[in-house]
Amino acid sequence: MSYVEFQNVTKIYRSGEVEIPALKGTDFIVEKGEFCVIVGASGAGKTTILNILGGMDSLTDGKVFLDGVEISAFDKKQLTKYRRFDIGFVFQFYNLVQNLTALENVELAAQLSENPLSPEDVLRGVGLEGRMANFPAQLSGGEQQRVAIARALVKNPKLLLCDEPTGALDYTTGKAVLKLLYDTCREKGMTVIVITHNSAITAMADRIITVKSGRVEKMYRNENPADISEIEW
Amino acid sequence: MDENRDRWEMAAQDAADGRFERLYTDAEKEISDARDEFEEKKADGEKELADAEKELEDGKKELDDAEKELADGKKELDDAEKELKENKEKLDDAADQLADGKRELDEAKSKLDSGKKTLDASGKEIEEGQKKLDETDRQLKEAKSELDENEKILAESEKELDAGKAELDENEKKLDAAKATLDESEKELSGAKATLDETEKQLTDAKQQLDATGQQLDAAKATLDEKGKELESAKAVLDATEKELAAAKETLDASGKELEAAKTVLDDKGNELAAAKAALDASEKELAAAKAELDASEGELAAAKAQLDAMEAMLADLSTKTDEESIARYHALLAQYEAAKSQYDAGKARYDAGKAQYDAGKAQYNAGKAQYDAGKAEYDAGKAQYETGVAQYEAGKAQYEAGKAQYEAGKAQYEDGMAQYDAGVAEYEAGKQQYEAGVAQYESGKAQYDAGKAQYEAGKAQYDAGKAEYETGRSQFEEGKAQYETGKAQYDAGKKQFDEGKSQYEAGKKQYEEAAAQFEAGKRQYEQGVAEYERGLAEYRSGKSQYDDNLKKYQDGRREFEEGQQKFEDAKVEYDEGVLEYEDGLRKYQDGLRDYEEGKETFDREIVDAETKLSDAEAELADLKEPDTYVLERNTNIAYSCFESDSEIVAQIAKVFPVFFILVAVLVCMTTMTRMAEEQRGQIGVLKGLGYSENDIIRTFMVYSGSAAVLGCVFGFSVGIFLFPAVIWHAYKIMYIKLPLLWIFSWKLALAVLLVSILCSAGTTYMSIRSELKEPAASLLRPRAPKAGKRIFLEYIPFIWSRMKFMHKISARNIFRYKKRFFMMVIGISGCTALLLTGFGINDSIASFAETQYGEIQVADADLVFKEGKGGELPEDVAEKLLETGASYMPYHGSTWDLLAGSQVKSVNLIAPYDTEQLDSFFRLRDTDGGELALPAEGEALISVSIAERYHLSAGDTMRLRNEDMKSMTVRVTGIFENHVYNYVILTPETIAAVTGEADANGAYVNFAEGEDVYQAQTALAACDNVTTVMLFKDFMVRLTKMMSSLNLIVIVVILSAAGLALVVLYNLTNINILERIREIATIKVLGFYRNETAEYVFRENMVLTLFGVIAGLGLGILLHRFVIKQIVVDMVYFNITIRPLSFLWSVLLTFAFTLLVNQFMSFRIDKINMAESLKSVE
Repeated sequence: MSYVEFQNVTKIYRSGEVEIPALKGTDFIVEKGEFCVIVGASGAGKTTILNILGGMDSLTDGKVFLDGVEISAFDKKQLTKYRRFDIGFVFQFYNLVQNLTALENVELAAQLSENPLSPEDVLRGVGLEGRMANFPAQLSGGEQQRVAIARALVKNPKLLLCDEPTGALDYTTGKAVLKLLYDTCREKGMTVIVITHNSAITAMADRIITVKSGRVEKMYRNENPADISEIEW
Repeated sequence: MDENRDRWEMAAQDAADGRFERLYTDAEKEISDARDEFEEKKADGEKELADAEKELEDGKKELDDAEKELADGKKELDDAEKELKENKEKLDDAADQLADGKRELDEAKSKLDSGKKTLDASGKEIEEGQKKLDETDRQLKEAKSELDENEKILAESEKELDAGKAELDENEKKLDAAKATLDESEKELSGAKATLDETEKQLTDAKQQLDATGQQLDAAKATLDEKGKELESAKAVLDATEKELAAAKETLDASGKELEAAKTVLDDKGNELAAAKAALDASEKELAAAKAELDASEGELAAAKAQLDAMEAMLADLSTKTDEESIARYHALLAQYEAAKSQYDAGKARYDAGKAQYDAGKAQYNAGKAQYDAGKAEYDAGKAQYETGVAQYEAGKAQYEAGKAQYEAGKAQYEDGMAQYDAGVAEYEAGKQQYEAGVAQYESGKAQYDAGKAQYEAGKAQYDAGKAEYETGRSQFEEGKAQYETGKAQYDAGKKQFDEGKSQYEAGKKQYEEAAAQFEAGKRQYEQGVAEYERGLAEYRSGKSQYDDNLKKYQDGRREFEEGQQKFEDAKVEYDEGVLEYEDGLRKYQDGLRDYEEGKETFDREIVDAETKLSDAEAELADLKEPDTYVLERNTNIAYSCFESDSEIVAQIAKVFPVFFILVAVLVCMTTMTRMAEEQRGQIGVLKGLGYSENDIIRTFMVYSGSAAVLGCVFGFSVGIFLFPAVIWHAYKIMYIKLPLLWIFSWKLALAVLLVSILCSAGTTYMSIRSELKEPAASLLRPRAPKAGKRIFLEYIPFIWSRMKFMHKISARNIFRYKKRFFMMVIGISGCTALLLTGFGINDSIASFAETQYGEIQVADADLVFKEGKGGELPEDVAEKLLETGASYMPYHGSTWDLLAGSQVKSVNLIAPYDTEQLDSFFRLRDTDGGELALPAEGEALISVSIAERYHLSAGDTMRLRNEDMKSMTVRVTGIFENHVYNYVILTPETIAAVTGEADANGAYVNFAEGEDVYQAQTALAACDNVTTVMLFKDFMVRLTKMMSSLNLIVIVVILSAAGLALVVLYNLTNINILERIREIATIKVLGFYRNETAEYVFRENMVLTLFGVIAGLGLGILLHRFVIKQIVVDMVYFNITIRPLSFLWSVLLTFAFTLLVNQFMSFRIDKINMAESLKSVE
C-alpha cells in the first residue's frame, strides 16, 4: 500500500435540490518522501481533494488512506486529531494570526503537537532567525509564507499540504518558497503535496497528478526532476 | 391640635344636631305628605279601574260587529278571484298565439334580409366578374402578340449559335495540337532544369564549402598572424629579459667579488683590531701595576711626610727650650729630621718620576684605546655595510633566479607556441592549397553550369513565347466558348421562357373561356333570385300588418285584465287590513282585560304596602336618636398612609430608573447597530459603488432602524402602559381594598418615549454607518482586514508575562486588540452587574429596614397607649396589670408636634422618656456609626436620622417645634440617632412641660416576661379601662415587611433588564468579533484545534472582559444603589443603605452565567464556520 491513496473517491455537494459532483471517482497514490504536484484548472476538483486529504471535509463515496490508516472512516473528532497530528497545511494567503509574532504563530502550532520540533529551530531553518519577534504585518509576503511553512513543519507532520503556496507571491519569492519546500522534502524526507494551477511547477516534482473535471486525467512519475532554478513561468 | 379638635368636634356636633333637626322635620313632613298623596292616589285608582271596565265592554261589542263584516267581505273576494283566474287563462292563450306569430314573422324577416344580402353580394360579384373577364381578354391578346414576336427572335438566335459552334470546334482542334507541342518542350525543359538545379545546388554547396573553408582559412590565418605577432613580441620580451638577466648576473657577480674583497679587508681589520686589543689589554695591566706601585709609594711618602711633620713640630717645640738636653735633643732630632727629609725628598722625586712615567703610559694607553675604538667602530660599520651588501646580493640573486626561471618558462612556452605556430602555418598552407584547387574546380564547374544555364534559358524563353502564344489562343478560344455558352444559355432560357409563356397563355385562354361561361350562368341565377326576393318581401309585409292588429287587440285585453286584477288586489289588501285590525283589536281588548285585572291586584297590594310603610316610617321617626360625632383624620387610617407611602416609593423609583434604562437602551442600540453596520458592510459597499450618495445610504439604514424604533415603541408602550400598572396594582390588591385602577394615557409621555427610542436607534445607526462610509467602496466590498498585531503593555512586565501560559498570552493580546469593543464590553457588563447589584440592594434595603428597626432599635415588645397618668406614673390599673404579668416597662410622654423648618411644616413624634436608665432595653439610641449617644438635657433634643437628612439638621443646630395648641419651643439638637420608621424627636419631659405646663406619661414601652404569650398579654392589657391601644412591634414589623414586598417586582424588572443588557451586548460584540476573525478561526480549526479549544480561544476574552466588567460593575452598583435609595424618599420610612454580601455574590454569579450562556450559544456559530473559509482569497 502506498503512503497516500485515493480509491475511487466521489464527492457530491448538495445545495437544496441541486447536486454538484466535485469528484467523480478519483484514484491516485503518492509515495512516502515524494514531492507531488497536483495540477489542474480551477474547478477541476483540486481544492476538494485538498479538503478531503486535509481532513477538512468528508467524502461521499470511496476510500482515502494515509500511512495505512483509513481517513475516510474518521468521525469529526478523529478528523480533528488527524489535522492536529498528521497534517501540515500551507495556505495560499498564509493565514497567519495577525495578533501573534512570527515565533508565536509557530508556537501556536507547536503546542498542539505531541512531538513538536523547536519553533526557534524551525524558523531558523526557513531563514527567519532575524524576524522572529515581528508581527505578520511587518513581514513581506515571502516571509509570511515562510512563517506559514514553519508553522506547518513544527508539528512534525506526516504530510505537508500546500494550497497554491506561490499564488500570492511574485516570481522570485515564489521560487524561493518552492525551493524551501523542495529542500524540506529532500532533506527531511517529508512527503509534500503541492496543489496548483501552475503547470510549470510540475517540472520539479517527483510525481505529477493532473486533475480534470473531477477525475485524475494523468498520473506519472518524473524520474529526472528539474532544478527549481531552471523552471520558468 | 386639641383646641382644634374640640372646635372641630363642637362644630361637628352642632352641624350634626342641626342636620338631625332638619332631617326630623323633613321626615315628619314627608310622612304626612305621603299619607295625603296616598289617599288621593287611592281614590284616583278606584275611579280609573271603573272607567277601564266600561271601556272594555264597549270594545267587546265593536269587535263582534267587525267579525260579521269581515265574513261578508271574504265571500265577495273569493268570487272576484275566480273570475280573474278565468280571464287570465284567456289572455295567456292569446299571448302564446301572438308570440308564435311574432316568431314566424321574425324568421321570415331574417330570411329575407339574408337573401337580400346574398343578392347584393352576388350583384357586386357579377359586376367584378365582368370587369375581370374584360381585362383578361385584353391581357390574352397582348400576350399572343408578344409570343409571336419572341418566336421569330428565337429562330434567328438559333441560327447564329450553330455558326458559332462550328467555328469554336475548329479552333479547339488547333489549340490542342499546339498544346501537345508545348508539353513536349516543357518536359525537355524541366529535365534540363532539374539537371541545372542539381548542378547549381552542387555548385552552391561547393561554394559554401569553399567559402567556409576560405573563412576558416582566413580565421586560421588571422589567428596565425596574431600568434606570430604574439610570438614575436614574446620573443622580444624574452630577448630583453635575457639581456636584463645577463646584466643582472654581471652586476651580481661584481657585487659578489666586491663583497669578498670587503670580507678580506674586514677580516684583516678584525685581526688588527684583535692585536691592538691584546696590546691595549697588556698596557692596561701594566698601567694598573704601575698605579698600584705608585699608590704604595704615595702611602709611604705620606707616612714619611707625617713623620717629618711630627719631627718639625717637635723641633719647633724644642727650639723654644733653652736647656741643654733640649738643645741636644733638638740638634739630634734636627739631624734625624734632615736625614729623613732628604730621604723623603729623594722618595718624593722618585715617586714624582714614577708618576710622570705612569701618566705618560696612561696617556699613551688612552690614545691607543681611542685609536682602537675608532677602528672598532669603523670595522662595525664596515661589517654592517657588508652584511646589508650580502643580503642585497642574496635578494638580487633570488630575484635573478626567479627571473631566470620565469624566463626559462617563458622561453619554453614561446618555443611551444612557436612549434604550434609552425604546425599551424603548415596546416594553413596545406589547407590553402586544397582550397585553391577546390576554387579552380568550382570555377570550371561554374563555367560549365553557366553555359548550360544560358542554353536552358534560351530554350525556356522559346518555350515561354510558345506558351504565351498558346495561352492567348487558348484564352481567346475560352472567351469565344464562354460567349457561345452564355449565348446558348441565354437562348435556352429564352426558349424555355417562351415555351412557358406560351403554355401559360393557352391555360389562361382556356381559363378565360370557362370563366366566361360560368359568369353567364351566375348572372342568370342572380336575376331569378332577385325576382324571388321581391315576392317574399310583399308576403312578409302583409303578414306583419295582420300581426300588428292582433297585438293591439291583445294589449287592450291585457290592460283591462290588469285593471280588474288591481281592483281585486286592493280589495284583498283592504280585507287583510280589516282582518289584521280586527285581530289587533281583539288582542288589545284581551291585553286591556289582563292589564285591568293586574292593575286591580297591584292596586290592592300597593295600598296595603303603602299603609304599612307609612306606619313604619312614623314609628321609625318616633324612635330616632340624637347623633354623636367623631372627628377622624385621614392619616389616622393606617391603610391610607401605608398606601400613600407605598405609591410614593413607586413614584420615586419611576423617576430614577428611566434614566438607567435609557442608558441601557443606548448601549444595546449602539452595539446592535454597530453589528448591523459590520454585517451589512458589503451591502453598503455595493450601494456606494453603484453611486448612491452617502446620505441616501445612511437614510436607508436610518429608516430601517427608525421604523424598528417606532414599531418597538408602539408595541412597548401599549404593552408597558397596561402591563406594569396592572402588575403593580395586582400586588397592591393583596394588601389593600380592591380599588379600581385608573388608566391614564399621556401623550407627552408617549411622545417622549418615541423620541428617545428614535434617537437611540437612528442616532446610533447614523454614527455606525457614517464611520463605515468613510472607507472607499472598494475596501468596503472586502471583509474588514484583521487588525495588525501589536505588543501590549503587559509584555513589558516580564514578571507577569513570562509566567503566563501561551494561550493566555494570545487572549491578553486579543483583549487589547480592539479598544472600542473592549470598552463597550466592559461598560455593558459593568452596567449589568451594577443593575443586578442595585436590584438586589434595593431588595435588601427594603426588606431589612423593618427588621433593623424592631430587632435592633425599638427592641421593646409592645407600645402601650393609655389615658394620661400622673407625672411619670402609669394609671393604677395598668400598672397593676403589668406587674401581674411580670412585664417590665418604661413610661414616656408622647405627642405629635410640628417641626417648623423654614416654610415647611413637618409633623414629628416627640418622645419624652421618664425612666431613662432603662431606656436602652426598650429604645436603643445609637448614632449612625453605632456609637452611644448621651441623653439630652433640658432644652436639648436628639433627632432621628430621617429628620436630620431631610431638614439638613446636624448636632449643634437649633430647631423650632410647635404643638397643636400653637405653643412653640426652640431646642438644640445634640445628636442624631439611627431610626428607620417614623420621625422621632427625643427630649426630656421637663423640656415639654416648660412649654405646655405638663407632660404626663401617656404611653409606655413594654417588655413582656420571658415565655409569656404576647398576644394573650396584649389582650389582657387591652382589657384595662385606661388602656387606649396596645400595639405589638412584631405585628408592625410583619405588616411593614409585607407592605414593601410589592417592591420585589421592581427588583425583578431590574434583574430582567440587566440580563437583557448583558445578553444583547455580549451577543452583539461576540458576533462582531467572530465576523471579523472568521478566517483566523477557520485557520486554527484547520490547524487541528479541538472544538472546545477553538471555543476557548474565542471566549476566553469574553470571560476576562466579564471579570473586568464585574469588578467595575460592583463599584458602580454600590454607587447606583446608594443613589437610588437616596432618591426614594418616603415620609415615614428611612431605608438602610447596606447591601448584603449574598447580593454581591449573586450579582457576580448571574453576570458570569449570562456570559456563559452567550458563549454557549455562540459556540454553535463557531461550529458552523466552514474550514474552507481559510482557503478563500482575502480580496
